[in-house]
Amino acid sequence: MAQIKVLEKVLGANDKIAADNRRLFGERGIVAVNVMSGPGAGKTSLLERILPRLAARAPVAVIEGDIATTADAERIAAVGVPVVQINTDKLGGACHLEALAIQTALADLPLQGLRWLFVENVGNLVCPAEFDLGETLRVGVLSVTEGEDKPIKYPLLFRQIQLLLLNKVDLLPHLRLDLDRLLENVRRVNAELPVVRCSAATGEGLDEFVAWLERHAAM
Amino acid sequence: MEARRRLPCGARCGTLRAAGRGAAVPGTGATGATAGGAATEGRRGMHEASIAAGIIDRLLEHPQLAGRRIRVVRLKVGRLSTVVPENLEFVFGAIAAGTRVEGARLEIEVVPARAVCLACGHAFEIEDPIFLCPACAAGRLRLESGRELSLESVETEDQED
Repeated sequence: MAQIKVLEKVLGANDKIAADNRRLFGERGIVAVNVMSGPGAGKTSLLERILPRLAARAPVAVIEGDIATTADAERIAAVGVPVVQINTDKLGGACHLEALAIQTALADLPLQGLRWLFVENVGNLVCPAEFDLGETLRVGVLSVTEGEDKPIKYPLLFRQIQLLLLNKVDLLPHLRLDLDRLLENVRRVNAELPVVRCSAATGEGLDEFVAWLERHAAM
Repeated sequence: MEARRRLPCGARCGTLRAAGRGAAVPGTGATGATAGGAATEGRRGMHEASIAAGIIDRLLEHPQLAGRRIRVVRLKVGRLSTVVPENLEFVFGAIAAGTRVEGARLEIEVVPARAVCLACGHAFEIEDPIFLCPACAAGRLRLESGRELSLESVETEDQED
């Protein structure tokens, strides 16, 4: 047998397309926000609340990633924002979005003058963290109903994000959640991660989220 | 040119395209491949499938490996990557079927997660999912290793044809 050195990044092909996406976003002044969470944390509900506010000042579009259904895209379309649904149900890698899917979806979106592009990743705390999409910002959503230990069970995702939205805080009075322990677990995996406590139901914390987006978009 | 069965690596884009306030309209549905993928059908939801497909594509496209049957594939996988080696081996075999990589053995070297504390300079290995310096408890770290996901080398059958 002959040994041959290969030395290639396994995700090199994805990373290359991600770099193309990032270049396109940069050239067009688009801020692409990759929103990641487990299923049911409230990604779509949060987007429904903040999209109209952002759209009042600058054009916004959304790419929805789901294993199946167009339910989330229909909700986004209902708030008047252009949206493309990606369904991964025919894929081997159904559990996350990859850079090629974003590149393909961009062909269906009005990029002219676009300022904000939100990518709602497939609800999953594992592999979306592994795949660069070319995004500008990465935001994680964790709801208080998911318990205290998610950050230490899925450390990569909590290390990859630049902001954590702690959603559904309006439910705290009804839960036996140890909030201090949850926040300590966030700190243990990513000591510098800012956390915004929010509620898509009541609107709490959304000013802070929008302010964070606008601050980071300008950077 | 030889290729593995095509994995649908794009997604089924444009199944819904809506603009402005208008109702959702069907998109073209023509973007992104959906054909093939039989090897991974039934294993969807496992990201190792797209990673295995990526490895096999790299091998089949590599000019130095053209025409050679591949027997051993050596990989480095960092402790912090989301790849589960057993899952990767499982889908790798299925996706490699019918190509020059069929039957190849995967040898996976798991790379420990190592970090240096930016506050006190202490170098340490992260064994639990706790990214704090064990010496001074600071959380600003530089990761030195653990995110690897790379092809290192392969062994091929000797053949000159």
